[in-house]
Amino acid sequence: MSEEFYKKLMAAVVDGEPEDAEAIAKEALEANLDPLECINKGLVPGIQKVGELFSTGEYYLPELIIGADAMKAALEILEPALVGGQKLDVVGMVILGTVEGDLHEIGKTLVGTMLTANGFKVVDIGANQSVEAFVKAIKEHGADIVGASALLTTTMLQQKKLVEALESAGLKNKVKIMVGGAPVTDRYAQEIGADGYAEDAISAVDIAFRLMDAPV
Amino acid sequence: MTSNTPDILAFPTKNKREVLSQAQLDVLKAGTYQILKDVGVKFPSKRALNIFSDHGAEVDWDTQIVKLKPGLVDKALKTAPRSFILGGREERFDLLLDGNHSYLSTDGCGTRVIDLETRQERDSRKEDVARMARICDALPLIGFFWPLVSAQDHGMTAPLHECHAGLTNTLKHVRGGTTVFPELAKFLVEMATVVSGSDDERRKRPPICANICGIAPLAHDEHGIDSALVYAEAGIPMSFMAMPTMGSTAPATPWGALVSADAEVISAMVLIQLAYPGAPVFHSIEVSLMHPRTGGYVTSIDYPFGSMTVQIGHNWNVPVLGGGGTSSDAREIGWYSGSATGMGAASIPTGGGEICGYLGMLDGSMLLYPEQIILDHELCYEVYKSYQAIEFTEADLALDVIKSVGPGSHFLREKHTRKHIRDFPLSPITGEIYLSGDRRPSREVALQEFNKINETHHPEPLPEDKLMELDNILAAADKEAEKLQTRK
Repeated sequence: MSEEFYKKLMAAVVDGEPEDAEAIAKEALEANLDPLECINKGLVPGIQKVGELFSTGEYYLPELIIGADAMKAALEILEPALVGGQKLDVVGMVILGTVEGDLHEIGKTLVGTMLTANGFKVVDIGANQSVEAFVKAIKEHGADIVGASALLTTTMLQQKKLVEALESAGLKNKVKIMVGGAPVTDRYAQEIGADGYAEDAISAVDIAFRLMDAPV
Repeated sequence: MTSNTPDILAFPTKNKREVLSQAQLDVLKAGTYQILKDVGVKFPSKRALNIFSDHGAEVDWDTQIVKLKPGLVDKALKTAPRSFILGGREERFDLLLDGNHSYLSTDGCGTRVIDLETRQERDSRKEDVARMARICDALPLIGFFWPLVSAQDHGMTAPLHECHAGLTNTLKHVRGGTTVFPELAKFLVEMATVVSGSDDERRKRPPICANICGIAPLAHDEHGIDSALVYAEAGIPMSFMAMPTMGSTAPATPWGALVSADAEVISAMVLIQLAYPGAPVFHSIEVSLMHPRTGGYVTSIDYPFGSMTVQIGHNWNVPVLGGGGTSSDAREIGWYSGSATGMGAASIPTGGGEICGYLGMLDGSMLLYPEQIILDHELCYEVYKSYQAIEFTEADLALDVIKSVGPGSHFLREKHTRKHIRDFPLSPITGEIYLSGDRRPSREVALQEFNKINETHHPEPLPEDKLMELDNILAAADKEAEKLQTRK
């Protein structure tokens, strides 16, 4: 019976059905299945399959996003049910947000989705977020990486302020800083002291993996 | 049985641009009549001179120049059909030359190839023609396969081998005939008959057509004209193509070049109609310019010759090979070739010629880069898409989805997005660039696409017995060619 649930959870993620994923997760718990097994044998293979279909060109971004949404919907049911020492196996904790004065969200959301699909735990603090809000979230969640997005030449300066704020707060050596957005370049990222720059959501994953492997 | 060759896509001609007014066309036509009556055209063919003489034309047997009065021209051309079919292996590959469709052709016929393996330039061979036929079979916009390069490894019978390579590697119509010894032309007709299955079927849906080039100014080739008479007798359609070069073989003005070329083409059409009334013929003029310093052949001229030559041909009420084309003088793939392809592709819908496009070659139609056909096809397809009729209903406005998402959010999570995101299929070239996440040069991706088609696309072969018959015909033609060579 458990195998059947895992398959259904996987299918809900691959097919991009958040409502189904949530309902199946609830049913699994009612059937006394181990929530960690449901995650590792149902949701994780599902999101991996989504990533695989995306990389081969069969899936497009909407399928990727809705697949991640389905996983998230099931996780919200299964995660609180973890007991004892059970813990999700994540690659790293990432805080994502768009800087203050900038309301653009989609690029940052895509990065979050791609990171989630690749095993990162992502906390998206949203758009128009102050440097203080970033710092607070980093401390609160014990982030390994912070990603700051800026879509305007006028708001990209906030990324520099964030680097400076993390230095002042003594966090610069504890959290890796990724920056991105249309006006941002690799050269600019280096100039302001960020640790990584990604041109798009796909390369953001590579950068994040590289930063996790880098010595802190 | 239906093969896996995709259906042919044709451009509509409703956007044809009338560059010349009817009054201007009348002036040109009057000039053509005058040249045919007063200057005449050289036909170095006894058979042609006899036909003209028998029909009352003024023939100078010493100079071999024929002068034609307007009445005789009009009488002869009255029998030339305005529309006819160029047949494919299956009916869905038939091309109806009726003025309502523009079908794209490959360019031809060059002599040099960038080798697929070594990437070094070398002389062209039959295997190149065969490979290109297979590639073009998979490209939906190409309706008309003109061997892009010559089968130079087959000497005097090269045109027959080019035709054979085409007929055995694509289901589309093949430009199979050209100027050969008339003794060899009959073998091309035999090949067409084998593919068609009977004389009747060959006449109804001829699988090959021919192109006969004149020799500007105002002369024809003996073998070309005699071969044309063989083709006409068999109902093989043919275009007569004048290739005036402004400044050397034609006056250095567009009007002078066009009127001289038109007279050359019309004189040949008159001959064919006098000999075989109703034989399918089409009109073609390709104007070039003499490079004023080197004397070289310049085909990229900033002048709407394509549109003008189509109008001139249609003014005689026959189909036209001409109009927009992607061919250029570029020697390498780069900005120049790309701009020429783009400009040429954009001029196809406004040109309105029945057969046009000329995809796949560089350096004045002489040099074949394998990937060029993919790049040309890609740009032509972009233009093709932009000329499709646009239709939608109120339901297509997706107002409910817009309402559901509201201001400031995004549509990535919507089922509507998932349903429709593929409505704009990404082309293998731009799609590859997009999906791979990096920006690979289009040329590199085009070569990859070429290789993919080369490895995977295998058009329905001809039945074994027909293949054997074609081999026998080629063997007989090769023997005949040996005899001709000895006689020479």
